[in-house]
Amino acid sequence: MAGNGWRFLAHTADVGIEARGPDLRAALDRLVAGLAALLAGAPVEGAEERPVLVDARDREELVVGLVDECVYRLEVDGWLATGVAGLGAPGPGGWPVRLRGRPLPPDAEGTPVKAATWGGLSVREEAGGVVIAVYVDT
Amino acid sequence: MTKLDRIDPWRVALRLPGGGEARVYADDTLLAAMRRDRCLDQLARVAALPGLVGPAMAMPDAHQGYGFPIGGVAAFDPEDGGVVSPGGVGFDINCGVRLLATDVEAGPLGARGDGGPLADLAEAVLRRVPVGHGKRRTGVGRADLAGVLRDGAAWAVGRGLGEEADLARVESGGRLAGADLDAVSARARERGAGQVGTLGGGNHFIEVQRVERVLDEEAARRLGLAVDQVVVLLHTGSRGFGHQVCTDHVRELGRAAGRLGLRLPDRQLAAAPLGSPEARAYLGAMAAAANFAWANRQVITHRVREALAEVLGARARVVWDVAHNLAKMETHRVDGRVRRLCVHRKGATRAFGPGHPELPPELRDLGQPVLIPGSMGTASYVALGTETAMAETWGSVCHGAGRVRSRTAARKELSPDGVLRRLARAGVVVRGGSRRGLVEEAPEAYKDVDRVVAVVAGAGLARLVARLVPLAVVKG
Repeated sequence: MAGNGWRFLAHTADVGIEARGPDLRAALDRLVAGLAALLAGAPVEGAEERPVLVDARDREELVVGLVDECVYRLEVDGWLATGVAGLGAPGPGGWPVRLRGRPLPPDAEGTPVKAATWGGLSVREEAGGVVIAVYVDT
Repeated sequence: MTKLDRIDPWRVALRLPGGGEARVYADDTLLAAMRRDRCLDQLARVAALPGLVGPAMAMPDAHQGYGFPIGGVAAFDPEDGGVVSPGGVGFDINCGVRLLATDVEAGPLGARGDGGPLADLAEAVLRRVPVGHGKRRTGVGRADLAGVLRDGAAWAVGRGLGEEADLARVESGGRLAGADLDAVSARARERGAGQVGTLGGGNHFIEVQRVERVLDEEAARRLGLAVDQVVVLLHTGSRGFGHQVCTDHVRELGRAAGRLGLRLPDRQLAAAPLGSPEARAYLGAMAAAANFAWANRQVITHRVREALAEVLGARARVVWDVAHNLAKMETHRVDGRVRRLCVHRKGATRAFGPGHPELPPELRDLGQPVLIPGSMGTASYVALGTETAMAETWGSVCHGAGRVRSRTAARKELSPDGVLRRLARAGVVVRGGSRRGLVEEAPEAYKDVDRVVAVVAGAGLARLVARLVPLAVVKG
């Protein structure tokens, strides 16, 4: 499956998501959109915003931490993050992110995700923006 | 450059650039599948971790994972700078399989498939065991969590959710000592609260099966198994609790790598020297997660027993419960010397041989029962650990069939209706799960379990006891 600015990557047991955007926030927004499509079984839009603080010291930790934050929100609140509306500057407490999302649709038939992994993780600059690749354990 | 040298029909040496060697258990077909993904590269990286004793090993169901390959086994010596690695255990800590033997036979139950009593049984199980995303009402809440994490399956039995005799048939008695609740994050507790007694998703299942063939009459009799008997195999783990424990400790150990003097080729291989405060914290949290998983399988066992009694008027006893994803301190003999080692099994099953003191007295002369599930709709096996396994693999064998096709490829190449039709033709009832999950977990996405089992039996790592075939599947 693929969507606007993201696509799934094959892995023998699990799933990777590649996302791209003109800057880090935009690439993260597409990454979360791809994750939402995996978790819900189809692309989903949400409009409710929630601020979170991701425990991260660099961009790689931000990617892993953000995916884990989305998995956590879904598991404990049933709230599905569908995008990133805002990204602040990192501080001592972490990296402030404004997530966009909605409750998980009741008829969703997605793939449960355990966590983001560090295997094959990359955050790189390319002409025209930022490209993120991350694999999730399903 | 690594190089592969076949030793015999079941064993392959993976020669490493630095002169060391890793060991792969596979025939040519299974080895070819491993060479198609990063499984063997990951094995080579495990072999480079400090304090490794003997070779890093890949079982015949091995495939690419994160950090360690799935199907990986490796032991580390604390006296020689050895480490513990959360990536050598995986996210689903103590994911495992439990086999229940009922007192009914399949033949007299009559019609198979939809509309028959086995469909009723699958639906009765599904009413009692939540499946899929997140948390549901299970009657086990936040206030119970400390007991669950400390006492594992014994917590559930103490609450009337099982029988005292069940505990003797669970690896480590269903409780790993040393659970450290202070090493568990608030987030892990939040994810775990409300998930005890839930199956989860992905490759987790509850499968009603019949004993199709007995391969060792005496061993089967001792385990209480006979041809045509209805049995239930259930597969689940520590749910969101264990996932969060792994996430937390991989992050912290990754950050501490420099301070701990470790150079990590892959941050998912984050590790800590055994005996360090970081290693103690991980092992304490991992033990809590292991206990969560045993409690989870015990509560589900109770619910399955209720369903069996309601629909078939049947009773069931626990044959055995194996753990797949753990790092345990164990005593092994190495070159004639007794040593305490931290044995990592990631997507691998402990398979202690006859005479091991950790086995219950009534099974000690047989060896540890081993359960090897196939993919949905294919066969599963009951086997026993052997002396060869003790000598070669720290008493370990494979944990299942092992994936061979990605979820993405399975979704692209298979249709849910086609998978359902094939299962229906085989008389297998399917309940729960999603159409998407059905395709992702289709038999075509996995290796041939008969081939995988033939390797561990041929290599002498396991002695086969019985072959089981499915009647009804409740999918996670």
